[in-house]
Amino acid sequence: MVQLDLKKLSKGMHIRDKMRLLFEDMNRQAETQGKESILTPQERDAIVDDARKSGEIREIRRVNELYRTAMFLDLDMEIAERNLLLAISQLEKTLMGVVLKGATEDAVSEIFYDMASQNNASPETVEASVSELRKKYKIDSVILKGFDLFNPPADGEATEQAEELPADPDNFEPNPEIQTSFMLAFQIAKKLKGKLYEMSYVTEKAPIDFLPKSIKQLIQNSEELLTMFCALDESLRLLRVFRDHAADFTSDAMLVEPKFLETIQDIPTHMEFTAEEKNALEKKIDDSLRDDVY
Amino acid sequence: MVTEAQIIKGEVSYTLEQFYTDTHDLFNQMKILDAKDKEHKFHTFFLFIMLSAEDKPVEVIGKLFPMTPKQITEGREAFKDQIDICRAIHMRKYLDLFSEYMATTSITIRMLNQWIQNFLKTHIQEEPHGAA
Repeated sequence: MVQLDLKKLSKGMHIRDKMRLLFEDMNRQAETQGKESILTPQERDAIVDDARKSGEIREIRRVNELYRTAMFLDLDMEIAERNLLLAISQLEKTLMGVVLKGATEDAVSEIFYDMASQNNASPETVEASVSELRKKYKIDSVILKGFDLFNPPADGEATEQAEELPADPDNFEPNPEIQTSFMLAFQIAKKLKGKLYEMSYVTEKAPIDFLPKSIKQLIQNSEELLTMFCALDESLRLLRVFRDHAADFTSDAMLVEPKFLETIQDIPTHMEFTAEEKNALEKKIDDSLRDDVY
Repeated sequence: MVTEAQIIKGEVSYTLEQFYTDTHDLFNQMKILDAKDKEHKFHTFFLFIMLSAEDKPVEVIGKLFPMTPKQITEGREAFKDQIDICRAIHMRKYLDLFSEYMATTSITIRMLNQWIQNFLKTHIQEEPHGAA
């Protein structure tokens, strides 16, 4: 195997190749907690010395600042991604309750209907018997309360059971717990999107691709998570009822989160940054590079 | 001619819109005496098919249409094929809504009802004194 002498090679090396070696070396050391490196200390010094002599050190320092900023953004992004996962998990908890209650409701309703409809009972008799059975077996007890997509209006005009929707559902209120959890998740998702934007702004300023694999993976995971959230996919599918059919259930209900329906009905648009917001994010990065905030 | 099974299994796409058009064509082939009132009669006929597809009790249909229980039963037998197809379209839509939203039965049925109502609002506008 031919052993390359990087100390000699660095003299004729292009600045981009020098930077690639230096940052790849830093990434390798970071990923292995300093156990492995690409360059020996002597090779690293030789590359830096040569860059200093050839007037390239200023550019390397600039890129190093970008690199350091990216490393700090990585931490912010990881925290935002974990926060979003937690917020989605909180939403899933309530949605799981809704699904389980629905499955229970469906099964119990069928059992009660079969019990009540024996002996060719009239529809009115069946309905009355089912109502009696619900009371007898405490189906509408507090245990299952809070696990409906829509709750009756607070003034108590609706039926005692949320699922028995009245003829005029205009005041039906989307589950407050879902409203709160969703809006929290939305805010965190937007924050995560902001971090992705900042990261992209930083990397675009760099002449080389210096991000380690772990950050690239985090970016990919974050983007996939945001795509899932925006599309209300996977475990969040039930929320599509609010996105596509809210008008069938409610029109002027008092919302604990006033922007809930507006936001959930068009998440991608609400996730977009305005030109001012983008400028603010870019300025934050530019200031940090100038003042070395990060 | 599509079958109920094909519709329910999703093997063919046969929409309520297509069913409405086909039923309209079928109705036009019938001997309707007063051509002036034809459209209103078709709307009444279509509603009868829709309600029958939902298995509404004879008493309920009797309250909506000037028909005796015997006439209702005979009408259902005469148009059994149309009623079955209409029921299959409703069932397919129910399954599509369930797959899309994974919601409870009551929520899914409400969305289905709203879908039917929206269709009727579009195709059978409310008539001042008519059953439609």
